[in-house]
Parts: sequence; C-alpha cells; structure tokens
Amino acid sequence: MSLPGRYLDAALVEQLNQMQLAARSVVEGSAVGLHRSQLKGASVEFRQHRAYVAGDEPRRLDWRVLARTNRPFVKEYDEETNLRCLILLDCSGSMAYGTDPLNQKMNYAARLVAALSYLMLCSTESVGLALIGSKLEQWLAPRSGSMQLSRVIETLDHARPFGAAALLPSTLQAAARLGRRALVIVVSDFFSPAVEIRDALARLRHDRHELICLRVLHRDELNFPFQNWSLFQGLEGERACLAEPAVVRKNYLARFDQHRRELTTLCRSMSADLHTITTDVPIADAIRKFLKARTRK
Amino acid sequence: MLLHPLMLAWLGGAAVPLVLHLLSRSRFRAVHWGAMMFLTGRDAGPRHTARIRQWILLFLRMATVGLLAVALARPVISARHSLVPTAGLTTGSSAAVVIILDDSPSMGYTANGKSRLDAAREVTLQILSALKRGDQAALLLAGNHDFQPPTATTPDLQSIASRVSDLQPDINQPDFAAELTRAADLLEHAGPVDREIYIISDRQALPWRNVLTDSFQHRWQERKSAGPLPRVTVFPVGGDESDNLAVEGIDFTDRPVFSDVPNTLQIRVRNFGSAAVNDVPLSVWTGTEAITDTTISVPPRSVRSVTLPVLLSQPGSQVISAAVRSTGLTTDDRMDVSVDVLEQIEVLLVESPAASPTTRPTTRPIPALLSKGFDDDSPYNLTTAPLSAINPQLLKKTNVLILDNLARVTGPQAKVIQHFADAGGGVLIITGNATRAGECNGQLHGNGINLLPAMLKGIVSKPTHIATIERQHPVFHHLSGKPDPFTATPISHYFQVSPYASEGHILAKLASGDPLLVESNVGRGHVLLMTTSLDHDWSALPQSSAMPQLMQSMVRYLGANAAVDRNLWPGQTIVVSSDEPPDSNSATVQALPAVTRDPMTATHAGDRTELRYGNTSKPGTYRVRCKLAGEDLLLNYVVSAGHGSSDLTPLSDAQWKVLTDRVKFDRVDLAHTTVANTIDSQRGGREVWIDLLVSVRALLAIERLLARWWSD
Repeated sequence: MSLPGRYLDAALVEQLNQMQLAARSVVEGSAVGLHRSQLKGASVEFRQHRAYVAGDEPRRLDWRVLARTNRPFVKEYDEETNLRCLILLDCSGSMAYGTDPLNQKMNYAARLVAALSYLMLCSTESVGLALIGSKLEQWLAPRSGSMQLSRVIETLDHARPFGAAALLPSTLQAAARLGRRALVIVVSDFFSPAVEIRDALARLRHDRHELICLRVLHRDELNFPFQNWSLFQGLEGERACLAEPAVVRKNYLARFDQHRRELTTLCRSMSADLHTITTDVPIADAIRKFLKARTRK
Repeated sequence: MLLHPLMLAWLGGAAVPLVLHLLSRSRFRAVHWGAMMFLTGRDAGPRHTARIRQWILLFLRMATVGLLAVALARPVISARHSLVPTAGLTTGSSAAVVIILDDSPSMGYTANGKSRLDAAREVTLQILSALKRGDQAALLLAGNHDFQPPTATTPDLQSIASRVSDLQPDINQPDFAAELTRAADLLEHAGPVDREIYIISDRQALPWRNVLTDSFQHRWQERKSAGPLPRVTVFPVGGDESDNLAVEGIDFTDRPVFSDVPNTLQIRVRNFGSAAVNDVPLSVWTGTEAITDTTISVPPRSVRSVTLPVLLSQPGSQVISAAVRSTGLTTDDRMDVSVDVLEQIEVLLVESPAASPTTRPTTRPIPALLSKGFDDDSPYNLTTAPLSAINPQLLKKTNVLILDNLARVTGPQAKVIQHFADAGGGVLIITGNATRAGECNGQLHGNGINLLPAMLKGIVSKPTHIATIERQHPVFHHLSGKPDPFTATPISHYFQVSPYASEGHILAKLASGDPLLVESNVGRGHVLLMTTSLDHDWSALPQSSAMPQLMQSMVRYLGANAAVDRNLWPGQTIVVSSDEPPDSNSATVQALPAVTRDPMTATHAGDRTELRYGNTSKPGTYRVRCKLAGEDLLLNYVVSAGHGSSDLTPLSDAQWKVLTDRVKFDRVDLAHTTVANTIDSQRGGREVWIDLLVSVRALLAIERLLARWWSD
C-alpha cells in the first residue's frame, strides 16, 4: 500500500469527494467576515480543470471545454488567499492507546488529519501541520497546492506517539511560527490539565486564530470497561497503578467528566469549537458529523 | 463461650476474600493506559483513597465470613457481664447445683451395649467437671429410696463423682416432683449464689407424672415468692425406645396351694410397647425343677395371661419363678413368688341339733361335698365336733370352722370364734331350721363381736333360685369361663338378711333379690354366711353337681390364711412368728445367691416369739432357716419391688412443651451441644448468634452499597 493509501484509502477519498462542497462552505463559513472580500479576488494561476458540481458558479465554467466535450468543467486556480489552516496534532504518549492499530488514537488522528487536509487542500486552502508532544516535534508550514497533501502525509508518517504531553510550550512554539491569523485545528485527546489547555488556547486566541478542537478518544477511555485487576501503565511515563477497576471506576469517570466539562467551558470561553470523536467511528462518518455541526453554526 | 466451637473452623473462610484479593492482584492484566491523569491524578490522594476503599471492602468481606463462622459457633455472652438477671441467677459469682440422677430400673435399658445409666453417669461427671471453682453440688438419686439425701451442697465434687461411678439401677420408681421439691428446699439454704438443678433421666414419662400436674406447677411457681426459682435443666439420655415386655404378675388363682393336687397358676405378661410381640419364650420353674416352657404372644400395649395347671409334689415353702426372654430392659423379664404348699387344711364342722328330727336328712352333706373328687387324699381334713366342744385349743388346730345349721351361740363361744377369725381363721356360717335370728344377731354381732356379715331377719318360704354370683371373687374362680350352674337349682326357704353396711359384702344373690352368700372380713380371717340351708327341704343345692366344688372353694378360700404370705416389698421385715420359743441361735437368713447367712433377731411379744430380719432393701429371695419345736424349717421369702418402671413410654411432645413452657425447664439435647457449653450458656449467658447474623446481613448490605457507590 502506498504511503497516501495508508491514510487515505480509495473508499475514504470517494466519501470525502462527496463532502467537498460542504467542506468548502464550512471552511468558508468559518471565515466569514475574515476572508470573504479577498476570496472574491481574481484568480492568479490556473491550476486544473475539475468536473462541475452543483453549486459551482456558472461563471467558472470553461465554455470551451463544454463546447468541445459537451461536459461541464470548471477552471480552478491557485488563488492567493489569506485563509490558512494549521493542524496541531498531539503526538504525546497518551495518543498511543488502542490495542487494535486501526483504533489506536494516533493512527486514527493521523488519518483524520490527512482527510481534513485533503478536504481543505481540495478547497484550495493552505494547510499546515504541526506535531506537538513534549515540544513542537515537526513543523510544516501552511501551503496550498497538490504537493502539500503529500508533505502532510509524509509528516504524519513520521509521527510517533511518545513522551509526556506539553501542550502549552509546544503550542507557543507553533503559534510563534504561525504568524498571522489562521484557522487552527487542534487534534488531541486533551489529556492535560485544563489550566494548561486554557493557556495554550488563550495564546492562540490572542493571536486571533480561529480555533477548532477535535478531541480524539478511545471508547475505553469513556467507559472504563475493565473488570479484573489491572496494572495501568502510563503511556506518558506516569507511575504504574495496580487497581481493581470496580473500585476506581466511579472516581475515574467522575474525574473524566469533570475534565470534559472544564474543557467544554474553556473552549466556549475561547470561542473554540470542540468536537469529540471516538476511534470506533469511521473517519468519514466522523468528518461528516463534524461538518454538519459546523454547518449549523 | 461457644456452644458449637467446632464451627469456628469456618473462620478460615474469612481468609477467602483475602486470598481472592491477592490472587486477583497476582493475576492482573497489564494495560498501557493513556488517561492516567484521571486514574491517579497528579497527587497521590485519590490513589490512596482507592486503595483504602479496596481494603475497606476487603475487610468487610472478611468480617462477613468471619462473623458468619462465629455465629455458627453459637457464642454465648456470659451473664456475669450482663445487666439483665435471668432465672436462677442471683450474684453470678458461684453456683449451688443439685443433680437429680434417675437410677430407676428403666435406666437399665441397654441399647448397643450401653445402658441409659451409663450415659447418665457420663453426663453427671461432665456436669461436675464443668462446675467452676467455688461451686457446690449435691446429688439426689431419684430411684433409690434408701439413699440418704444430703442436707446441704458440698464443694467436695470428687465425692459425688465417686458415688456416681459405681452406681447401678435401683428398684424404685422415681418421682421427680418430690425430688425437685427436695432439691429446691436444699438450694434455699445455699445462700446468695446461682441455683441450678440438673435432672438426668431417660425420656420415660412415668417419673414426670406428678410434675405435669397443675398442683405441682402451682406450688413450684409459688416458690418465686421466696426468691428466684432455681434454673432446672433436663438432660434426657438414651433413646425413645419404649418396647418392653415384662412379667407383671404370677399367682395361684386358688389359695392355699396344695401338694399333689392340681393348682392353677396364672402368669400375666404385659407388652408396654407399640408393637406386637409374638412367640416369646416363657419359662416357669420352681427351684431347679422346670414346670413348663412355652411361648406367649402379646398384642401391643396389653396384657396376656397364661394359666397353667401346676402339680407340686412337695409341701413346704417354695419359690415359683416365671421369665420371658426379651431385649432392652431385662430387669422386669422375671418375677418370683413365694408360696407355702400345704398338704391339708384342718376343717372343723360344728352341727347344731335339728329343730325337728323330721327335717334333718339322714346323710350329712358337708363331708360328702368336701370329699367329692378325692379318694383318700383330700386336702380337707374334716373333723366334727358339737358347738359345746369349741374351745381355743381345738380351734388352734383348725383352719376353717363350719357352723352348719347355726343355732344358739353363747357369748364365750362367740368370743372364741371371734378370736379364731381375728387370728386368720375362716368361718362358714350356714343357716337352717335351728337358726334363731334374734339370738344369732345378738350373739354374733355387737359387743366386740362381728362374726355375722348380715343381720338375720326371718325365714322366707318362697321358691326361688340363685340369680347372680360375683364371678371375680375367689370363691367362684372355679366357674371362670363356665355358665352359671345354679340357675336351675330351686331354693324354697332362706333367711332374709340385711348386710351390715361396713362389713357385709354380697357374693351371690337370689332371684328374689335377697342375698344368698355374704362375706365379711374379721381380723385377718374371713366369714361367709349362707342364708339357706343344705337341708333338702330348704334347697336342692346339695344335689347340685356344682355344689361340691363350691363348698370346696369356699373352704379353700376361708383356709387361705393357713399358708403364710412370704412375698414382701423391699424393706419389709421378715417375721417368723411362733407360739413356741424358737431356737434363735440357729435362725439365719441367706439372701440368694449370696452364700453368707445373717442371724435373725428374736423378739418376744406376750406368749409369742418372733424372729425378725429387716435388711431386705434389695429384691430377691431370702432363705430363712430356723428350728421350731425341734423341727428344722426352711422358709423362702421373696422381696419384689414390682415392675412399676416397666412402662418406658417416653414423654410426648406436648408433655415436653408443658415442662419447657409452663414450668420453664430447659431441655437440652446433648446430640447438639455439650454439657459444658450448656452450663456456661445457661448461667445467664445469652446466645448472640441471631445478633451476629443480623450483623452479617448488615455488613453484606454495607459492602454491597459501598462497592456499588464506589464503582458506579
């Protein structure tokens, strides 16, 4: 399987293609008031033809091609746009949870990032990727163009979940590199103290970035389904804990819920969208649900 | 104190939760977990909390199992630490104990090689060993009336144990009502200590019959006014077996017993059990000579009699024995009876002259009646004498005096006859044409004379016949099972009589309703009055085929005292009386089967001498040898306590309920507990197993609640 195929299989791409319009409107919707005048600017450089889909502006139709082939195509240009998207992918150790490779949070998050990048790059947005762990591990500046997806996937392929999460310093580093304002999508499990998350998001908001938080969780982390005695070994170097799940479950769930509520509150206060995605949900479904929620906003 | 200490072994079960806990810990599954921050947190507090919770749950589970084990062991909280007083308790410091031990014959019942008394002995020793330092005890033997009861409790428990160790079943039927009263009286003087009475007995209902009465229960409760009632605990020993076969009686239907004449021996065997007994061997013998060996079948809870003709060849004192062969209680399988076998009895016939020569028959009926059926071996040695010849010397040699056609009796003659009857002689008065009612009434009744059973009124000349006879009376034993032979015998004349209320007892009546035969007891002797004559013109009785047997039966009955009854109760003194001074130096008593002989004591009462021996508390045969008037005598006395304890019927559940509910006795079944535990628990202790079970239930609920609370 080719490298892109590991992250974007044909079936997913097919489903993503059907979501392009919605994706574009969503992305545009998110930029209302920020980039509209500039998006309406003239094209700069021809990029490609693509099949006409309902909703495309008729003026973009390439009449010559239509006359010659009797099939509608629109012209696409690499437009100069101010909308940039940076995806911050959490590569801390906690993202390694998941016995099944397909359900491993890191794998899932990587495919999610690849899918989002594909969608946005198809919408001629510029997409960048930052891998954050204990520090800013990798930085891929936002760019547009068909090659950017390959760079994103290559960066994802080198990502390995390891080490303790340090959301604040790594976010600070990414924010420093990001420069002018952009759409920042944070893909993480957010297993960090709420204070640290708040400080990180606050830094991004301070730079007037648009924030979307995609929280990737494993179903076990929501339900804590363990029955027998278990030795819980921390993926981020925490001290191991031998516990009877029946005894600690209530406390775990309570604290988990408390953290969720805090996260929700602070995202609301930061005007950041928070979406929780579990790894047992197919990527396409997860994105479709996410886009639907964004459309309603 | 624990009633079932073995149950404490289940305490090991308390380790099961711990073992499971440790096993689970050792078989844990490693999980690489990302969300550790929610599991452990940054601080160690929650983890410690979880650990504490685990240990709390573990402790609850272990405590649940442990408490359950303790509850099964039925712990008892000592009353000495209790604020609530209980029956029998006063201070809780020491105890005064009375042990009532049933050593009656029923305790000799043996099953599986062990008698009930053996079990009772063990229980008694266990009670003694369970007593604490400072406790005092006393022993009452319920079946031994010769046992001198103690006057106070003693701290010397060893002496009681020694007394119990060699105990054997005694002969008497116990009365627990009396023993309980005695024990309570004894404890009243025990001072301010715990008062306890322990009754160790089989389950036989007989000893309890008086305890179960309302009067005893009322008296027992009345004792409360004098202080707290003693705590009474009953330890039943042995089983509920009640099957028992006993020889209940052995007797000759006609007395005295004659030698060389068939005598009728009747043996009664009672089946006390609820199952029929079939073809049980029954042996009868005298000395070493077997009389008969037969079998007997007895329905449940009934009596069967065996009647045997017995011909005894030798006169003298003999012991007749009968025995059945049974299991269980064997002490009542045999019964002995002493009998004096006589060669003859002396009969003196006194006939009055006929009032009219024409009315007397030419043949004298009485000698013919008495000799009927015998050749020259009649047991009735008949002598004839006129009334004027009666004197004490003549009557001394006489056993039965027949006053035929009774005429006028002088006062001295009446006194002599009265003295004769008082001494045991028998008198048969036959009325006739010479009888003068007024004179007879005056001479034979009143002024210290009571020879006449009924007042003579006058002659009734009216044909009648014998209507009813009292078949149960010994005089009519020979008619047992036969039709009345006198119904067709006409009687034309008879004296109308009125029996004296306190003396006369009618044995036969005429169809007219008037008595024909009236009996009275005079001193040790008997008097029979026949209200008709044996003359032909008065009645046809002499011609009746049944009359010889009736006459012989009456004479035999009246002469029964010719034989001395040598059957005694335990403790009754053997008395050999004689008008002639016996050789007291040669008088000895041998309690068979012992070979030693004890001397008899000679005492003089007026012109009579008596040889006495009083050590007859043990049942058995006592053989007396003495010399009287130069003649060596061998007399057999049989001491028997009877078989009053043979009915082994156990106390019913209802009777037990009365004892436990109304009289507040504790019944302790030693199949489920021990004596020591019982004593400890009853000394005011309170069983707390119910409380523990409630605690177990509560712990389970708490554990479930906490587990759910902490895990949801």
